Amino acid sequence: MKIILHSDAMEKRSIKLEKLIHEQLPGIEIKVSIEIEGLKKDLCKPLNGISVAVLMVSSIKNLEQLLELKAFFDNTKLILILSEKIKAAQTTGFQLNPCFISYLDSDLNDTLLVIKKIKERIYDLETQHT
Amino acid sequence: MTNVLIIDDDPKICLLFSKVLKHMGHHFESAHTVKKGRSLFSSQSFDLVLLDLELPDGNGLELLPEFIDSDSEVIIITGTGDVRGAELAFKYGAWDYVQKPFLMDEVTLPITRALQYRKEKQVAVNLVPLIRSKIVGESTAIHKCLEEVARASVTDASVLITGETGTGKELFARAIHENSKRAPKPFIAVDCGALPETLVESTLFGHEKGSFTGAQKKQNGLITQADGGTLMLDEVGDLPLNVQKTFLRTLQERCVRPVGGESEKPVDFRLVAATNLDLDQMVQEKLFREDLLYRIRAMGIKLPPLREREKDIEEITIKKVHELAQRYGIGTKAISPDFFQALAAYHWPGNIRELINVLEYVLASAGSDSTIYPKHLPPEYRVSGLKFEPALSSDKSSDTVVHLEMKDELPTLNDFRRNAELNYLKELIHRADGDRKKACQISGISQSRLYGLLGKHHLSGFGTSDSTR
Repeated sequence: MKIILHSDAMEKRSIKLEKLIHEQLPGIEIKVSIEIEGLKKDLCKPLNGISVAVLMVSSIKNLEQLLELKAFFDNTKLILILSEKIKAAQTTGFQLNPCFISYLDSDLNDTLLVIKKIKERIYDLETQHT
Repeated sequence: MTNVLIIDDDPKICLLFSKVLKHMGHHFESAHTVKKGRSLFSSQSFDLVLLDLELPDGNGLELLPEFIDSDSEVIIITGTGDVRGAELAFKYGAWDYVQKPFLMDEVTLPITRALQYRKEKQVAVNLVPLIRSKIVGESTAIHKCLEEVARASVTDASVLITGETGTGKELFARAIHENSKRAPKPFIAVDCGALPETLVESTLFGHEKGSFTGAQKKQNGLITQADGGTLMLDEVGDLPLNVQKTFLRTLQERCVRPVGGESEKPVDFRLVAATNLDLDQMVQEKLFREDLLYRIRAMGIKLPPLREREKDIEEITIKKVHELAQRYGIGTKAISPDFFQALAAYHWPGNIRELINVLEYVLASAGSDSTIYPKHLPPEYRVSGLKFEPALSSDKSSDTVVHLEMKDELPTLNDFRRNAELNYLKELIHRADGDRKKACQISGISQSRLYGLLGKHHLSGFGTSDSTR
């Protein structure tokens, strides 16, 4: 399974999440994309194999930029992590159709649990289809 | 004004009906024969036909298809003990039947109900134009589903959408929302299958600060977020039993209480649930609450798998290839007719989601080619379209593939495909004469894929020909 991790100006948190995934969910490939353009480029690659996108968003501007990329997340499970200052913007965040919304002040264990569940589900589906 | 046609050879029956209809404020016409009935029906529009089966010049049943095709409701009048006629009438789509002799009161109710049903049906028909969201396809199966979307959109009833994975359940849920009066309000989709048991409850209902480890702040749940709009519970069968109980209460009381909260807050949402599981079976196995199932299935929409929408594959493919080409910044590509044939030959267990993934592969594989051909498909998708000549098969096992008509029972499609794949591999190993490079060249599949398939069928592969022939 491959995850793309986007984080605008929240490097410490994304590094922590990356570390947690590596430690607790080995075998998951993580692609980190800080800049929105880099994220777009990664998503634009055919057969990018991205199953989950974790988007750590700290500004309304970034959220709006992500909304413009909505179509690129069509076949991707999306986890949105909002910073405290844009908590009120979660209604806008729902337009991205995330499967889970969390907040930056959480211990990230909730996000980890969701990724684990998605991983199990993808495995189950693949097993069913073969 | 409602127009009713009475067809009965008994003048007393006609008189009784005419009194009832007059009393109800409806206009009516009477006929005593099949011929007269047909003539009246063709000259006017009738909302309801009261049809006797035994007429002097024929059986009333012969008129039934004409009436049903014209969308009129039909109530059958049968003689005492004539259950067969009523059975046939129902089979052809009659609304109800009344048995002679009957009292005035006994016929009023079926007439009222039939006309009420017709009225509701007409309201639903007037719903067009329907916003299709991103739903693509013109097959009969998908049109039936869209009609159900239209019906669901004018009500506030809970809808359960069922269908295999990848059939577009969320798209249909969105379509119901977008065509409903709740459209300006939020549409909140919750994927119950992606949420671990420990998080489902707080995600749905919200939580108070300190209600559990990690609840550092008060948090509103998704049900509250959906206030005024539509809440979609995707993979509702994955909802844990303890959460099912709480959710049922929320549905009944229209109030939500956050985890660790003491007070309830009123909430107004319309529920659309979706699943690929058999919830009735889950109820029997005590994995899903029966009372909740009744609540969430006030209306039901069953989405067809892609293999039953063969006609739509072409349209979906054209649209998606165009969309993907735009997304990846590559020029639009032409699609060869045999590419569509190859797609139609596959059984698509992952449905539209799988088709989109394949098209993504195809675009990457086509590169700068201006036309998409079957050779751009992933190898396993090409194999499924292969047709084996009888001459290819020499052993008994392959007969099950080639001579299907000789068997008493048709194998399942999966068994058929498995056999076809097995026979192909056997023949491939034989023709490649044990040379794996040659085998890859002939089959057009990679070495790793070839070994994967050999492993799947427990074939030892190259160098040990005994096991393969």
